[in-house]
Amino acid sequence: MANKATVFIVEDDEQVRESLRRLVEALGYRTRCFPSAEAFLQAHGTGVHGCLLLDVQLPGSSGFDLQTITAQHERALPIIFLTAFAEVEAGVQAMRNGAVVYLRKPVRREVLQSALRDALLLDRTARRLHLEYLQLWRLFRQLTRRESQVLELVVKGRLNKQIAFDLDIAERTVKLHRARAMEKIGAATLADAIHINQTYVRLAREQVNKGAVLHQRAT
Amino acid sequence: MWRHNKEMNTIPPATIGHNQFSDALIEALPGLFFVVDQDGKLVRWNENHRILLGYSDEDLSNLETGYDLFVDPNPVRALAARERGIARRGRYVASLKTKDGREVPCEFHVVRQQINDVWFTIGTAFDLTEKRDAEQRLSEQRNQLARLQRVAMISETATVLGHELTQPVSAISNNANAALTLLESASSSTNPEVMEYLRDVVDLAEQSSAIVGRIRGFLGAGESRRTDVSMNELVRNALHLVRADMAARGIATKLLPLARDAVLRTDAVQVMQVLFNLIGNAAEAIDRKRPGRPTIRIVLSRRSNHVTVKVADNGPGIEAHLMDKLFQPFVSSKSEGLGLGLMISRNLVEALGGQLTARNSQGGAVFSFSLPLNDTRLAHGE
Repeated sequence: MANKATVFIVEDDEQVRESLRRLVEALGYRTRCFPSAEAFLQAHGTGVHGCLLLDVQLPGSSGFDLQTITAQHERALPIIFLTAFAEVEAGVQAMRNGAVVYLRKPVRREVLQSALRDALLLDRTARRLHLEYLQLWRLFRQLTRRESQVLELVVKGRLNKQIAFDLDIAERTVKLHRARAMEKIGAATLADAIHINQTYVRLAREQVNKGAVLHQRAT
Repeated sequence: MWRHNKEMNTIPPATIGHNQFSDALIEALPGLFFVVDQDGKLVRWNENHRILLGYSDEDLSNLETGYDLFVDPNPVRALAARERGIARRGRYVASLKTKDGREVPCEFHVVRQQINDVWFTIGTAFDLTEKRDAEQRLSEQRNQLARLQRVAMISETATVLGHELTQPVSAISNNANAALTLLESASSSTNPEVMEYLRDVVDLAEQSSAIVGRIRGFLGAGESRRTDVSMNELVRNALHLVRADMAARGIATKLLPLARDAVLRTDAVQVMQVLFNLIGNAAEAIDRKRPGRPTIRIVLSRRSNHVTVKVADNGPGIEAHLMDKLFQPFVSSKSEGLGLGLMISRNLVEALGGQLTARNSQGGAVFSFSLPLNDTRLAHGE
C-alpha cells in the first residue's frame, strides 16, 4: 500500500482551514478537510495512511474529545494539535493521551514540516506493525485446538513425550499435531517457532494497549 | 393612657416604681427601659443599662441628664425640645456610649406622657449592632459579587478577543508560508524580493500574535504565575527601577515599608505592573501642576488579612468630574493617553484577590490597592 500520505485537517474557521490546506499541500501532502470533529468521524474510513491536524478549540466535540475517540479506533491516527494559547495544561494532557505534539499558532513552516514528518513516520510504523500482527493472526487462526495446545507446550520447551503426558494423548499424535502446527505458522525449526510465537504475542499486546480490537475486520 | 387590667386603675401612677408587678414587667423587657423627666433626668431604668452598657445604678443616678449617655446628644436634645409638652409617640435611631467607650447603635421607641402635671418620656431601646453587621455583610457581598462579575467579564472578553484575532493572523501566516513554499519549489527565476516580502509577512503575523498574547496577559486573562513575594522588597525594586526617571523629572520618592515584612503568594510581575502604572500616573499628575516639593509617597500597611499599598502624590488631585469614571476605559486626563492603565491595573489587582481605590487627600491624590494575606508566610526570622 504505497499511498501518498493524507493529512486530515479539522478546523472550524473556513479561512484558517483553507490556509492550512494550502500550506500542507505546498509541503507535498494530500489533504482532506473537515469543518468539525463530527464531520471527520462520520467520513473517516480506516486504511488511509496519514495524520490529523487539529485545532484545540473546535465547536461541538472539543479537539481533545476527538483525540480520545479516535484513539479507541483500530488504527488511531497520530495527531498534531494547533492551539492559540499557552495552554500548558492542555499540552500535558495531550501528550499523555498519545498525541504526537501540540503547536502554537501561527505555526512556523519548519515546525509544521517537522511535526508532519514525525506524525507520518509514526503512522507508517503503526500500520506496518498492525499489518504484521494481522498476518500472524491469520496464520495462528488456522490452527486447530489441539494443534494450538501442542504448539503452546512446544514453545515452552516441553519434549514430545512430556506433551503426550500433559495432554494425555499418544506421542505419535503429538508429533503429528506439532508438524502440522509448525507448517501452518511457517516455522522450519523449533527456534523459528519460538521466535514467531514471541513476535505474535508482543504484537498482540501492543494492539491491545492501543485499544484495538483483537479480531479484525478484513482490510 | 396606660393599658392595664381594670383593677389596676385604682393604683396611682406615682406608685409605679414600687409596684412589684410592673417591676417584673420592666426587668423582663428586652433592651433598655427608661423614664426621664422633662429636664432629661433619668428617673427610672432597668438592669439592661448595666448589662448592655456597663453603667451601675450609682453611675446612672449621678448623671446630670440621660442625654449624657448618647454619643451625640444634640439631636436627641433638639427632638426633646421640639416635642416638649406634646403627648406623642416617637421612634428614632441614635448611638449610646458604653461605660468603656464603645458605641452601640440603638433603635428608640418613646412615649411622652403627662402624669400628675409632670411630663415624662418613657421609652425602650434595642441594640441595632447585629442588624447593622448583617447589613454591612450583605453590602460587602454585593460589592464582592460585582467585582467578581467584572473580572469574569473582562477575562471572558479578553479570551474571546484573543481567539478572534488569532484566527485571521494564523490564516495570514499559513497563506504566506504556503506561497513561500510554492515559490521555492518553482523555477529559480522567482524574484528573491518576493520571497523576502513573504518572509516579512510571516514574521509580522507572529509579532501580531505575540501582541495579542501580551494584551490578554495585561487584561488578567493570561495565566498568572504566583510565587512567594516579599512586599517590602517588591516595592523597593519598583522604586529603584523608576529612580532615574523620577530624578530626571525632579520628583522625590519616599517609602514607608512594613515594619514586619509580609510574604504573599501572588504574581510579582503583575503587582509591579500595577505599581508602575500608579507611580506613572502620580508623576503625570505632578507634572500637570507642580507643587513646591513634588513628592510621591508609597506607604505599606498591614491588616490581619491583607496588605495595603498606597501611592500618594502632591499634585492637583483627581478632577471631580473624572472621579466616577476613573477606572473605565478610554477616560484619560492625558491628551495622548489610551486611558486603559487604571482599568487594567484594577483588573489585575482584583484577579489577584484585592481592591484598587482612589481618593483625593489634602493636596493630591491617593491610590491604594490591597492584596490578600491568605497563603502567606511571615518574612524570615518570625
